Amino acid sequence: MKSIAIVLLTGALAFMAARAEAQTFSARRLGMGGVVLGASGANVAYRAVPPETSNERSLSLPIGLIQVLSNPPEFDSSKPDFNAYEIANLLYNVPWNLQIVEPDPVSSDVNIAISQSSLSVDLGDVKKVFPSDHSRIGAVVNGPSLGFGIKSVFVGLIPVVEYDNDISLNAALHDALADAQPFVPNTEYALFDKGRAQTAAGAELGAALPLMRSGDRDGFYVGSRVKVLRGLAYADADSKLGFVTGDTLFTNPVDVNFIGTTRSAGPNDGGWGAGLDLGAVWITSGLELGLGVNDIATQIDWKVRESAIYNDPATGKYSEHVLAEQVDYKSRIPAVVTANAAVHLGRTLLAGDVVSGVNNTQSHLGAELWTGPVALRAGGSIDANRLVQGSCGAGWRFGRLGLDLALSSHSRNLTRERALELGAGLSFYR
Amino acid sequence: MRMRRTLLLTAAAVMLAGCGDRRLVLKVDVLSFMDPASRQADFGPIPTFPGGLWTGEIPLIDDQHVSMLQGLNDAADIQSVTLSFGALVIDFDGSGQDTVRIYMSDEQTAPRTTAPVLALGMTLSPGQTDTLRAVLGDDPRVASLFASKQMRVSVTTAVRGPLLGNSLSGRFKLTGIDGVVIAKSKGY
Repeated sequence: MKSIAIVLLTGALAFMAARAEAQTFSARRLGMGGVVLGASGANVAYRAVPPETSNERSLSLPIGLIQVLSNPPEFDSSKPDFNAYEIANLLYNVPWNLQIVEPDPVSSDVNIAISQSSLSVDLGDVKKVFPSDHSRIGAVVNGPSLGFGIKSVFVGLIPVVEYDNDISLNAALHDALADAQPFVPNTEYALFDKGRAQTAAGAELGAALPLMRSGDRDGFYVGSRVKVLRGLAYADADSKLGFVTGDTLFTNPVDVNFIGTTRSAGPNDGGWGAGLDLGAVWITSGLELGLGVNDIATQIDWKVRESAIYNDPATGKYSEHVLAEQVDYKSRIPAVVTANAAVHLGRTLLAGDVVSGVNNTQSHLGAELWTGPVALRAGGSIDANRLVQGSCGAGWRFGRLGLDLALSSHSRNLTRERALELGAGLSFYR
Repeated sequence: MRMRRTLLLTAAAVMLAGCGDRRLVLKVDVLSFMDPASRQADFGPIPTFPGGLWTGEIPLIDDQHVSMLQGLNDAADIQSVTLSFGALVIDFDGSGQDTVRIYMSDEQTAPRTTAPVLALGMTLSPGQTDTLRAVLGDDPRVASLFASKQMRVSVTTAVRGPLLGNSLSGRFKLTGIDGVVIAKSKGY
């Protein structure tokens, strides 16, 4: 049962991560540093660009699932093997690819020393969890679209999911937790968290067409897509957890206070919204430039419930107080900008991109060199943690069938340590 | 005469060195919460008397509130609590006996209405300084107190004077009350 759950969870996360450009599953792209290649991005104009004659369809192989299923994490918190960090890392890094080098597990003791006038906390390995700045995640998932196209026009139905979260510590708490600095008197220690998730169902109507065209693919292509959305669920929270130390740290009990405000809406409270995607691609003499902007001014109307949540330090229990019901609220879906470029130099393809999404910007560079039936690939990227990552890979073509393998470093884990993964895939050439 | 009583040897403390088993190790310097002036007290002179004069329990630390970490019990399963106690008994003159008692209770209970968590008896010899050291481990009552938000502590001394010779006088000085909680984190 646990294995089935892991497979289903992995599939769902893999789908969302792939759509959100958060993790690369294609072994070809993985070997090229995760670079966006043509229609693999979210640029609507690529719907009008004819596929390359050597274009293949690829099937990514989930070889990482074997690894996880052979040694699944413990989900029961009462069991001694339960490790929340393992599970969190499973969410950060969908186990699609085989993890060759994984970050060291968080296993050290946490040491806390208390006296009346001092408190020090040494979190050991856990210290690495706290970034020097904000810890942000987020993505917009548009699709998949269920629809059809006639000539340049297409229509479809799409689900839209957006989530983002921003956690930060004030300087005092960061120094205490990340650097094991002693807590000091008369100081506020606080953690802030802003999170939002929204989902909507919508209909899309768009068009993509060449404005100029010469030869097989050369030309200037544009595309646009209008989305009409119906809100299904919305929630956001802005919360603060903290405490203030007195003249001496423990003269009086230290009360940890939580206060947060939330907005929430269910399917019956969802209103209508609209959004726009625009894209353009210019291809000339082996050079390809693309620019796509999705969710330009996308907004959805809601009737939200506004609440305040706080804890009572005396009882430790949380209370929710509804401040207002059926309040008009307009949520935004952040824009995602994808700029990509590629150039063919003989048998070599050079490609690069910059993707600016929700709460992060990533850039990728990659190269592919074909020598007979073998493709050699290499690339690099600056990931969401602003770390430089490298990758390499190879592809073997046997007639219409191909096998792709790629090695890539990444930092998709809670402690942002460098890890190494192996991706595999099959290619079906035309 | 020197008398040291060790209820639990330092094996528990050695465990604290740890080798990384995802434990929460909480060290509480209980003595730091005490008024420095109350950490030592002089006793005597207690005159010689047949059978020895008994002072009764004299509070050195009387109902001191000690703040703990809020919610520790929610975050971790407490596996053991070790309480170590250290004191110096300086005998200026005379001989006798001393019994030190440590009381700990929850926030709602006066400590001395409960049984002492630790009672240490010792014999005093003229001109001698004795070091009193004891370690108490695995007492469920103490473990539950360290898991609470606040606890209350009292320390008393009870001296019996000499049967013969000079009057007994001296000084009692607390040097340490340390609690060490070892817990298994519920989170990771």
